[in-house]
Amino acid sequence: MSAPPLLEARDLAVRYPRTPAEVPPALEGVSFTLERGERLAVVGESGSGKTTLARALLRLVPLAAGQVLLKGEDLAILDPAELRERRRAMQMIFQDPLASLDPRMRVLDIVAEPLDCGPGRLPAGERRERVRALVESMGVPGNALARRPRTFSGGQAQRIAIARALIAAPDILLCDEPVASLDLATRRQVLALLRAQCEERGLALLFISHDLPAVYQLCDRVIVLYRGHVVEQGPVRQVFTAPAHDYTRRLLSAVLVPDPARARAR
Amino acid sequence: MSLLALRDFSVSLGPRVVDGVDLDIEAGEVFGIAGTSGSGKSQLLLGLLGLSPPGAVVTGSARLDGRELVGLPERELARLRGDRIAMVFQDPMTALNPYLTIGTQLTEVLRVHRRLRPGAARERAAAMLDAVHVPDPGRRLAQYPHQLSGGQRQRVVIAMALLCEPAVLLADEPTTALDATVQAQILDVLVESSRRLGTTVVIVTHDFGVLAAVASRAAVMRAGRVVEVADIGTLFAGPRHEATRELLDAARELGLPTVTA
Repeated sequence: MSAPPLLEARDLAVRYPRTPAEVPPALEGVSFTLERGERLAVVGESGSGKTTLARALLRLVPLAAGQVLLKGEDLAILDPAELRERRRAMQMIFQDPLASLDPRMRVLDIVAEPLDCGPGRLPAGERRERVRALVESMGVPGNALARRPRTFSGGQAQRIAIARALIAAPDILLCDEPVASLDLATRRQVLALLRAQCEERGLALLFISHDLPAVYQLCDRVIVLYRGHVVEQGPVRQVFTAPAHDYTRRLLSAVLVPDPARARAR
Repeated sequence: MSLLALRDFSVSLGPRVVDGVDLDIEAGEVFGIAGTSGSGKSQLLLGLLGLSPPGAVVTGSARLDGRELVGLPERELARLRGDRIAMVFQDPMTALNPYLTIGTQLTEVLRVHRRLRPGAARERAAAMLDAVHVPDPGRRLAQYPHQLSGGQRQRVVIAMALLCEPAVLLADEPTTALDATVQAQILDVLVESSRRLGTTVVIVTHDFGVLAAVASRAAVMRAGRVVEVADIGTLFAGPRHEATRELLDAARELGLPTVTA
């Protein structure tokens, strides 16, 4: 028997509590696999279910139906301690780094926290050295360790959030709009950093975004979500040049083109 | 005479964040101000509005229709803001008061600047919501900001800005916080509604895709200075300054292939 996929979603459905019966589920019938080293995008407009999908994969919201299998293991049958341990393999990066990093903590403690929560305890010197090396390899100066998040630009803060995710040695990075709050030049640098880290470490990436150009630059495959359903999935280049679904076509035509003549012909 | 004329306009927050800017913006145009984070583009807008952070020193000259804005007492500025000069900021959730209905917030503008009676103000507010394509404006007036999507909220903010038919609308990254799929629609609404009212638009952005979609001319800023001003065609076809080329490259590198099928 061949090895199970790294991550598999089977027929996922999520219905938020206390929503009226006539409101359709936030997510329904969503299935996909993510293999080791693969970079998969989930695209769709606000309200399409992208963030709900990320939360469902992490079991941060209960499933109404379906299964999430991590390395072939159903997360639903684990007790809370086992779930926490297995979930270390999936690390999150959120949209707004200044909101996702604790403003009262120093960078050293923020980045080291996954180590501190993990099995065993590192000597202080080694802990510090590992954080410093990782933070520097993200392009953040090593003297940053004693500073707090608010003293960094958005791009620098996001690099720190990436370092915190990587220090847990995950198999999967789960990113929810990780570059949406950054300007274009910084966005480009952070995308390049994510790509380099994934390639170097053989990480799989689940990249949730409404930013189709970023998806095009970074990902191999794409899932298009519309009102909680997958309407199309395939290789990024194929889906973006020959979309099969009208909704995908609409998403593509909403992208602003940096060319005045084409932009105005729209 | 241009509608908005800046001469040696500067804002100092200790360091000079806007440094000796000369600009002439003509009535009826959509003028872009582009730059990366920290280039001074937002501080330029805030300085024009008299909304610079406490302790800021604004110097030089900024004339709207010939009237000097720099040094104007706060009372006079408050009278101009929302009336002759309106603004739209990046995040519609923080621009709107979460405790007040959309109707209360829209009609306040008309009560303060136009002294309209409540009935007339509501009618005018509903008409403006309709003009920016907010469906079912009557019902929206009774709702609170959190009941609207991000795109609808930004339409409300645009409606509010245009209620008094201002001479100039200053928009700071008005679509950056929005889903890419509604960005183009909101830009269209902003520009079309302004054009209908004869309002001049100054739009601040880091995204050359936004300039390409709506601006007729643009200035590029770096380190507080304007380094290049040109019409949009020229700016894209033959950028002269390095800062312009970098912004253009950033936008182009994050481009998409053409849909062929």
